[in-house]
Amino acid sequence: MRRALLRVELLRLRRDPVGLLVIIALPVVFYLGFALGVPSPGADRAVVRANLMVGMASYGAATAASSLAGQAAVDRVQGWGRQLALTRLRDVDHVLVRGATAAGAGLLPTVVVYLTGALTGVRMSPTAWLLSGALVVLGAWPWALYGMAVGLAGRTQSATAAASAGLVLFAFVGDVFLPLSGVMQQLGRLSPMYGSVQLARFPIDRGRPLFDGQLADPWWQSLLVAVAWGAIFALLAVRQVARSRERG
Amino acid sequence: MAETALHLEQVGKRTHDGTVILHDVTLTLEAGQMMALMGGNGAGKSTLLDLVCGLTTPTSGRVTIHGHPPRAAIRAGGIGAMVQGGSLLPELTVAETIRTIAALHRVPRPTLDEDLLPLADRRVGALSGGERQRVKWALAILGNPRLLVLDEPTAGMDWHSRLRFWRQVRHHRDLGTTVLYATHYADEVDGTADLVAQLEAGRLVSLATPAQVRAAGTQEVGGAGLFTGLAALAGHRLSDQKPARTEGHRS
Repeated sequence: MRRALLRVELLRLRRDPVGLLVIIALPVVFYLGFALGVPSPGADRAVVRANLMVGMASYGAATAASSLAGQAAVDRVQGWGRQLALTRLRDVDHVLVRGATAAGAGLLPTVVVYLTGALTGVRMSPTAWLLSGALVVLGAWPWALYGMAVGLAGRTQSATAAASAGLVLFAFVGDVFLPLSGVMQQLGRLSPMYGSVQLARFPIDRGRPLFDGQLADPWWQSLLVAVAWGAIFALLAVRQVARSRERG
Repeated sequence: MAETALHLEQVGKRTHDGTVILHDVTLTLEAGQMMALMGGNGAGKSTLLDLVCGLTTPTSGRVTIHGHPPRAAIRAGGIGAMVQGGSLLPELTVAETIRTIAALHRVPRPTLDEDLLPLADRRVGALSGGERQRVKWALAILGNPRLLVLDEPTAGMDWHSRLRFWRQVRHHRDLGTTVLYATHYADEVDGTADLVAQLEAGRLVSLATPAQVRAAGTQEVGGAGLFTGLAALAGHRLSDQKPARTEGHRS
């Protein structure tokens, strides 16, 4: 049953080449803009770029996951959710499949940003490449649920745009674009994207701060924040899927 | 004694702002019966059908299908439906759509109906309204349900497709399927429905056989169609049926 729904979601992804291109190109452009624009001396350059690469890949994966799951909003407008509600499919299966497809789509920008990183001087151990990449893709899960919840809560296709705008804000306060310190970092630590991004960065240098004044983050704390936000988004998504059966 | 297929017990539905859509509706449909649901726009027909399909929940009362709540009946494959606002994905072909919904009904190898074969490879987005209704009908009967719920199922169909559609519905009824459907067409009631339930402003105002509806009309105005009978049963006087005069045309 899940396989049938998964097949449909992959088919839809394949039939939207423009959407796919945007999902992949945006984080690469961001990475190049930040990585090549930020001056950093000698040995530190590789570490700074590695941090930026993981941050941008996380942002790309989250965007891909959120926008694909936000397609749920379009489905709601089209009534596909009501059609599915007339089958034996359970809400939780629906959420799982859409979440998995969306989070899986996060793999594409991750691979492309990592390749770009390798070509622009990022150097890490093979284990760090693999582990951080896997954590980036795993970290996209909550964003699939977020995109689905926001998309379903809105009544029009503009809900997807609202989800994207929220994501940029979370990325900013989540230490993705620019390294945070002081009060901003203290506050940002509790924001939804911070935990998963710090976790994905952990294999680079085991959570060591990039510069003086930046706070170190134990991995368990980042994991706790990421899991807590994942649970909140999951609850919201299941609630919205149930609500989306109703007309209008 | 015939088995009860569908029972609504004092079912009410209010919106979040307190608007009453359905008020204390009690209805029973026995297995194998066909009931037409009639009433004006906004009478509550689609909401009632949504409640039966578990697409929305009542604010009071309860709905049971063969003794089970609607969502449980859906999960057991007991309900097939064509509901308003239940649409298909435009980017999928007809065959892909049917394969997907069949899998979600746990039907391993669905066969396309003869009249859908020429449409199999067409994208749903390229179909006409009537063709989409035919696809939705094919989806409704995929799981071989015991109860069919049809909300204005022939909207957009040409006369040929409508005739064919009702022939198929009656065939399913003959096999023992219970059918509840909403319609605005009198010719979709005569010779098809066993019972006609009439809703008005969310209340069930009459429940009768088509013959009883016509007889009520005959008594009221002497020789009448189904709609006059429905008006008579709802307690509207003949004067209610006349067009209202406007100030400018007063003689």
